[in-house]
Amino acid sequence: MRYKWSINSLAWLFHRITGIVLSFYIIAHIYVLSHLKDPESYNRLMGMMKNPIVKIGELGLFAVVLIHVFAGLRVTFLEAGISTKYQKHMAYTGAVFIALVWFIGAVYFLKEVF
Amino acid sequence: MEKYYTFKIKRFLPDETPSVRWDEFRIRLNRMERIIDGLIKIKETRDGTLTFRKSCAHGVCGSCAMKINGKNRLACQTLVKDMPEVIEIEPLPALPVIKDLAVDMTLFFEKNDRVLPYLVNDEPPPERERLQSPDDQHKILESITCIMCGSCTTSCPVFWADKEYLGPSALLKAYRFTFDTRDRATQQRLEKITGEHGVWRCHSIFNCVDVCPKEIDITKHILKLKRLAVKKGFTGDSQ
Amino acid sequence: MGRTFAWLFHRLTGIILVVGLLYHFHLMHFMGHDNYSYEAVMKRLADPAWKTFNIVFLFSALYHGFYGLNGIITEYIKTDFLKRSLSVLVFILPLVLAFFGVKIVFF
Repeated sequence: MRYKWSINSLAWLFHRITGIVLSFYIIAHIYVLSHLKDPESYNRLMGMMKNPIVKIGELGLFAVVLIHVFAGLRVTFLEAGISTKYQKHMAYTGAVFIALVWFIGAVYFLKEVF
Repeated sequence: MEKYYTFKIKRFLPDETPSVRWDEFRIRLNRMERIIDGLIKIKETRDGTLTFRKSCAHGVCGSCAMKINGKNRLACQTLVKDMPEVIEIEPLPALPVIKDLAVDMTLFFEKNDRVLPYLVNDEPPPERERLQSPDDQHKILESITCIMCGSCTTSCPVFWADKEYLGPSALLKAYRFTFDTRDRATQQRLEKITGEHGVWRCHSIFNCVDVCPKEIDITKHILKLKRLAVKKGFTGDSQ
Repeated sequence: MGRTFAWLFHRLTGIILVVGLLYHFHLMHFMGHDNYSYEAVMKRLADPAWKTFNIVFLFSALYHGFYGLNGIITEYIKTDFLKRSLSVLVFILPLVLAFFGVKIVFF
């Protein structure tokens, strides 16, 4: 069923998708951390982190986190009492912030790495 | 100033095969005319079988709500001058289609019925009216202008997925009575709307606000209901 | 009232996570590989305050995430069997993960 998207419905869509992604991520994350009982296997797993594909994955994760955080904060502010007349402003500002913070973070991250 | 417009209308004829098809009609309309005028012209001069609901034709009855170029609108309030030359017209989403642009609104009205959409006050009635100050009336002013057109609930992605969700219209109706100072059923209504498919399913998507022909900020009202539920949950205070 | 509080708690854990997550992300992804080597991690975990932060952080994340998933199940899953089994999973899984989390932090 086709329906016109707007900044606010897109914000919800991305919030939901990133939420699901992060839920799976946390499961994987705890699985990885459970290797802390054995320093050798843990350090071996951490060695994987040097792989450039994993590094790109980290950047992707950073984007996913930023999107979910900003979209979530927007909803929480509205629920806490910020006037709904600002809902579109918050959505656009949030999008700009996400892009900015991600870009700056990515530059800094890649510099550290390479 | 007349111009040609192409109306692409999604037809549903249950007795035919195929039952769904798109029809195109090229008609001349004055730019200040509305979609409803186009539909009437088509029905009168091109295809008498075209079915749609229409009553007041000036934005107060809510009958002609439909999806126009991907967004729910009242056909009588949408001027063709604000539309591109090709206009896609479909019935409201997510409700069963009876024929062409007429949908079965039963589910929509059922949800309204579930929130006790009437004044509940068992106190002995006063000699004349139950009084309400202008300030008190102001609290519900926006919510009483709802014309029950169905644009909001059928534009909500939560409703699309979850047909048990009460939806913006019913929740707005719940607000209208809960925040009415003459009403005494706050507790019962809060119980009805804080269930599994009630206010907590609203994610502030704002599709409803984007389409309301009366420009009611529905999400704002739902947020107020959420805050009231929290307040009552912890302090047991009345409104 | 239960659902009201559950919803409110979801928002509270959200706030906790914003703060904690941004710090956690900074520590782990922007400070170089040595910061999460076995030695570095165990050194940090020796501090009881850090242990506490991690438990609060983890429990908040599990509550927040799985409450969200539960909402998605309520909205999209309509068949009885799937609905029941996924609801149980979404309740049990975070408890299991919390148990492992506590194990990692304290033992």
